[in-house]
Amino acid sequence: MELKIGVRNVGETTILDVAGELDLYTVPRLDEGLRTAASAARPLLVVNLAGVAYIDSTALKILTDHQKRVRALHGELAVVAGQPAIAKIFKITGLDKVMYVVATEREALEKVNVDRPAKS
Amino acid sequence: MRLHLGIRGKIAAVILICMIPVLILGGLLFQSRNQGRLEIVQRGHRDLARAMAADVQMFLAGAVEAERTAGAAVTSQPYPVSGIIQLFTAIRAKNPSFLSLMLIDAAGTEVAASPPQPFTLNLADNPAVGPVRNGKEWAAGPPDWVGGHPTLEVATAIRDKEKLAAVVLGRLDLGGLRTVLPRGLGRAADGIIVDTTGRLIIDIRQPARAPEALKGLSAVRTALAGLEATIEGYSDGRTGYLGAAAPVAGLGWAAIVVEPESSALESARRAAAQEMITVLTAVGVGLFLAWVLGAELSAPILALVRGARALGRGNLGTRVALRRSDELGELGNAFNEMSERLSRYVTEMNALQAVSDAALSTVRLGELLPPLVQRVGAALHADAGLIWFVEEGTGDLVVPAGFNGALAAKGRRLRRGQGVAGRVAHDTRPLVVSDPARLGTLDPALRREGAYSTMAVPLRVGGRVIGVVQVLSQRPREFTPHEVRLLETFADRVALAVDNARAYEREREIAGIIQQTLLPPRRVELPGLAVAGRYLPSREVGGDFYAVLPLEHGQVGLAIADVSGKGIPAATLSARARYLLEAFSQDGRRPEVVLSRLNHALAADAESKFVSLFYGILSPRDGTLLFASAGHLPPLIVRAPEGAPRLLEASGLLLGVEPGTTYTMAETRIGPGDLLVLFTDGITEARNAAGEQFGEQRISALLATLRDAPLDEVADRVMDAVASWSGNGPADDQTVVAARITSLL
Repeated sequence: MELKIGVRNVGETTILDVAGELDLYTVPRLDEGLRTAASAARPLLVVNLAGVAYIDSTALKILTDHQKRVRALHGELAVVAGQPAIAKIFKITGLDKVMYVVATEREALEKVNVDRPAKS
Repeated sequence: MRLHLGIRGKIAAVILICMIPVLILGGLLFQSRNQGRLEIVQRGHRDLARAMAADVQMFLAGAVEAERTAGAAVTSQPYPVSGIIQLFTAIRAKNPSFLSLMLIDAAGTEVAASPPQPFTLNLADNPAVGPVRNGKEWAAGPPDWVGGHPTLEVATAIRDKEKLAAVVLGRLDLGGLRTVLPRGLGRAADGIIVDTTGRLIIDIRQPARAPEALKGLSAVRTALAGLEATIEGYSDGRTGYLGAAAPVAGLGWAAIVVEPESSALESARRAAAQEMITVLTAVGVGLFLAWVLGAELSAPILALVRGARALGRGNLGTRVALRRSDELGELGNAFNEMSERLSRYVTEMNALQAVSDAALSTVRLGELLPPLVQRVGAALHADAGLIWFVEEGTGDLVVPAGFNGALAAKGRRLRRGQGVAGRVAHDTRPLVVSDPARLGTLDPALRREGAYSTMAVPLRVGGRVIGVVQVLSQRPREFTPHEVRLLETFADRVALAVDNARAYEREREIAGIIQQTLLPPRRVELPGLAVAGRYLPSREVGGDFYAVLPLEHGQVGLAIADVSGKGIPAATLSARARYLLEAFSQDGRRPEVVLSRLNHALAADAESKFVSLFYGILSPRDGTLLFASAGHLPPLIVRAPEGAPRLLEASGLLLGVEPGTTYTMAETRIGPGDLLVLFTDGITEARNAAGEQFGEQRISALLATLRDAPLDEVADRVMDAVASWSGNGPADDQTVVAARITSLL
């Protein structure tokens, strides 16, 4: 039950590379990682789940909670779910309809950076 | 190595610094003694010069005496000229320094000469004869060179009753002085005679010195003026000289002694070198002693350094062997003591860690206690550990069920105040019994079981004694106060772990009760429809549930759900969702409406977790299935003709994400004998040892073979397949529901 979270910056966007298993026990660390990363006034976040082998509903809950919080700050959050198994979970749960769930990091960067007028 | 040099170097430096005043003093002494030596050398030179001057005088006096004797002989009685010549020749033969001898009358005219002169000379104005005729007893002329030899004419008065009768004039070869002079002169020293003008007459060493250089010396001028003087700073261009000059009385000459400084001071230098060697030897001995002393000091320090390093590497209990009675020995003892204490401390910390690890390893009391108590016993080097719990109600002390300590008698019971443990529980303080005889009185049962000594401390939770931890020794042993404190520390951990485990068990119990109330029976038979369900909770109670809801007109609501999270919060949410579903499903509401309502209710609660839920309404009348899904895994349907299972696809957002979410309904038809299987992700995501998920394909393949199997068998086979796949107990709740239309009504 290991979880590793790496943080990178591309322009204004913060990318969290998550690797390991996202479950009841590791989710608090994802929560903390997202909280730390979203410290900007208008957070632009990409959560890359490329290294995630397993994701449970508590992790989905954390992701949507943060998405709501980030959007309230006129920011955006996108999820990169490159693996079919992970992408499928977003599809089954319908979460791909309420948040940006894309296959590549490039798409994710476009999603968070486009259509977001700068906060006046 | 640095330290090695460091200490030795420092001691050597200290000794060197201490030697500095000694060296300075030695240097000063050396210098003053050197000056003394110079004086001695110069005095020697003066003596020599004086002796040389005396030699010259003696030489002249001898010549004068010879002349007087000869003159007296030939004037005392009439002598023929030939006789005089004969006599003079004889004298010259005896004294070869006389180059010639001549008898001159008072008027200054030659009478006779040897060797004979070709002419008779008038010598009245001769520089030697003149002064004699004028009354002097003897006189010498200026030196004269004859055939390269320095010569000197010496005239001597011959008197007859005070009246000058004749003068004897002799020419002396001064070269003869050479044989007389070098007495006591050093090998490198030189003796020189100069005349009144400073002209060099005799130089014992060849080649002769430049007269000008000598004349330039103030000491020579002083000597010519009649006083002795020392020579310093004279150089012939190659060598520096020391020396002295002395006047030759009566002649106005000077006798000079010069000696190269090097040879003059050689002995002094040799003595100085000797002293230097002595001093340096002393310094060397000092440094050697410093080195030895340094080794004496640094060796134990190095040993301590090695010890400290070894200790740093984790070799606890490292000892340094310093058999010394000084401060270093004390340091060594302090080190050993520290190492010993550190070792004991770390051992205790490790033991405490081991106990804590055991305490944290599980929340199940039955699994928790044996390793925990075993570790406590091991940490105290006891032969066994025992744990007692205070039984609720009776207050008796009992050994917990499922616990098999070495000396623990299963099912033993002590009344409060009875036995060692009973006393500890009653007095709520530690008890040590070291004396076997006393143990026999206090706790005969323990003594009979082979225990000789024991100590026990209460297990406290929030000030309440919940039990006793006890260790036993199978030989007489004194448990120290330190060990009692250690056991108390362990007891704190054990008490916490026990309390946690109990709290957990209570929670599990409650959650289990909630869960059980939610679940329909394993088998439901309704008109035209049969349902079999299996639910296997994970170790921590989770939030899966399924429901079979009889509706109006013979329709039946079928639901399966998975609530995120575990434990009581998940179980209560599960219960809430379950009852909401039951309420909303009434009055013939369609599945998508039921889901929208459920979502609305659940999303209103910000703290709420997600719920995935599949809900379908099956009509056994015509086999119609209306269904909608809120983020749940699509169920599988195995139709009679095809055999290959198909997914009942319906997409919709999880419940509890967005308040206004709407859902869509799908419809399908199920024929009699078709198999409908609903499941949760605990089934598909069950993982084997390699981390591979069970997956949809495997359940699909399995169901393809079970289309016509009895529903209970279908449900059991699915659960068995997943159990053998994952090997371990379930990581997540596993739920499977199988349904079949038995016959169309």
